[in-house]
Amino acid sequence: MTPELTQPRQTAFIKPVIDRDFPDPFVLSTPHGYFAFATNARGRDVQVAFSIDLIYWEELGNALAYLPPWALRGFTWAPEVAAVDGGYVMYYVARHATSGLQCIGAAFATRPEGPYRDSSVEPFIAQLELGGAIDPSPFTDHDGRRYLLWKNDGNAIGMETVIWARRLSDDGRTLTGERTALIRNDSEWEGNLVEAPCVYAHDGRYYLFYSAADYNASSYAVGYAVSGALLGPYRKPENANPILASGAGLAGPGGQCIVTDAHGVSWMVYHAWRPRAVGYPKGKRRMFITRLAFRNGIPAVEPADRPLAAPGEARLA
Amino acid sequence: MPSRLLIIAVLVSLPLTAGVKTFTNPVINADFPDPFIVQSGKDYYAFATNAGAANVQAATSTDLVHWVSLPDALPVIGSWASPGDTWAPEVLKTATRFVMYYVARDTASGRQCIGAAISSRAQGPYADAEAKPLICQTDMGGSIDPSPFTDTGGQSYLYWKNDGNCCGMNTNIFVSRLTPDGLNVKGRPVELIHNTELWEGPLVEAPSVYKHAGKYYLFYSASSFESSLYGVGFALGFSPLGPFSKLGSRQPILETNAAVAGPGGQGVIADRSGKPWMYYHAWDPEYVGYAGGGRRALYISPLVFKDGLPHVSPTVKTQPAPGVK
Repeated sequence: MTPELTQPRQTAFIKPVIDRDFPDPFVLSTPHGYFAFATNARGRDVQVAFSIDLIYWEELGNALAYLPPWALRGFTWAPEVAAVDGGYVMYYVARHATSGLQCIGAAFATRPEGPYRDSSVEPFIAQLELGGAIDPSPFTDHDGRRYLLWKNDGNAIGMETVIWARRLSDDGRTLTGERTALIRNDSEWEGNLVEAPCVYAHDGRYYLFYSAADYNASSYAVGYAVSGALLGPYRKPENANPILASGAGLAGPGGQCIVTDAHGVSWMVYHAWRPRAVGYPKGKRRMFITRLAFRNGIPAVEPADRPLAAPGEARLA
Repeated sequence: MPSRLLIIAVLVSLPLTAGVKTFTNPVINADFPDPFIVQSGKDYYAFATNAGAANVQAATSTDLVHWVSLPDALPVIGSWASPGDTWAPEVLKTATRFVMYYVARDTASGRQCIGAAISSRAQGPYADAEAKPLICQTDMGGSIDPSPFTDTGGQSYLYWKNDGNCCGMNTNIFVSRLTPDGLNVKGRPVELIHNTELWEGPLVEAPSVYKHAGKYYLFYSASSFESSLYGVGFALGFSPLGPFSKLGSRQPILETNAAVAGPGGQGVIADRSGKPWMYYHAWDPEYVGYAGGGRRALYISPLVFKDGLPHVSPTVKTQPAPGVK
């Protein structure tokens, strides 16, 4: 359920919508409003912000103040959240103390903004032999089955990276069945990795959006693969990728997710650098949103360098 | 008692007949700061910050326009408190009685803290039997401006502000669930909004929540109450516990104009036809601040929602009176 805005506050907006370091953003739509989560920055292990229109965001602080015993503080990445019975599950990445690799945890809260708690003694997904596991992304299929997608952090140890998927229990807190490999880095623009998966179902097909190349450079970009079944096989389009790359006003877009607004319009939420300040420590990954549309089954994102019709107003346009 | 003389002056200047069609602000032309209005039966009761000998000023009305002064609604403050600084009273109707939340000086800490007093009648007298204040964030400058809200399902909440600006700290609006008797808060307080916008200056305060069309409007006052910079803003949420968004509305919805100066301490009350009015105190623009010879008189203005956004247009011109049925 998505909050209904009586009227839009603005007829147009100029991005970014969060003009601070807010990397790997994820936006959850709830009856309480929209919640955005992001990688650690400015003293917050998991940043969380709140909006009722996807444009104006209130910073709410730290959603994951207490890390589990297996984790070290300071490397809390790419949180995503799913609503379950009785609350919300956050899938996130933290530094595994014993291996020094990044692993996936699952934390629970009764309110969307947290505080989330995870008292597990081991990571939810470790894949230490494959370099660790990062970028978890939950997906609920039309039949109610839950899945988690993620990436093995192979590029951290000179290995290939693969996007994986595995069933989740109905409460989202247990993995079941076998894992399935969906895609791997095999195109030139992708460089040494694919990561940050998120699945969006449209017109009977599953669109697996992902980021690739070096996140700290302007080569970072967003591509997609498509399949008739959630677990694949996925096909990358011949010449269409990347669908979102450096351009006027922004550089190195990625870490994307999709949110659907109160009027049924879907938006791609992602981070990007300003072109004159790419990479840390000079730059910041700010949060942008852009409309996601499909033409003949091919996803397209609107240009990011000019004002757009605001979310919520889409139905009036 | 200059304040009561002024109320009497208002009464003789206006007809006392029911069904009056028009009225003129202010409706209490005396110092009546941080007002709160509750309806009980056919009558409205208004309460305000201390003035003269009264810890809690009180008045009653049947039409929100003509007010009659009542005795001190809190003749004895809690044993935890020292007299002289009794502020911003508000009242909750529980299933069996009335609970008044008020602010007084906590003798132990020297901070302003929130107490709860009970009465079987809306107008009081209220009595605080507790040995300690209900809420007292002494490490955040104390706690003031309590405001109860009861949601459609019957759950009540208490909003308030930490008095950080007393002592160079940030101010936040907090909320907690109340127990059914209204005498205790449950769980950790949730922090809702703080002063972020230019017009808000050093503080946000005086929260009051109003539910409209399924959404929760958190009205608040900000800036310095003794100046014409004081005004009322709002944040919007989908749950009484928040979160709330200021929606990028970087200006107040109720602010100084030719008619009023420094409006604030607001709340919302429905008239007999169900139409909402915002009540608030304000200075006469010619006399702003106590040092300037001013007083915070009681005003009411229709609260109008257009496209889901609240609007308040204060005027001292003759205007349609609150509805009667």
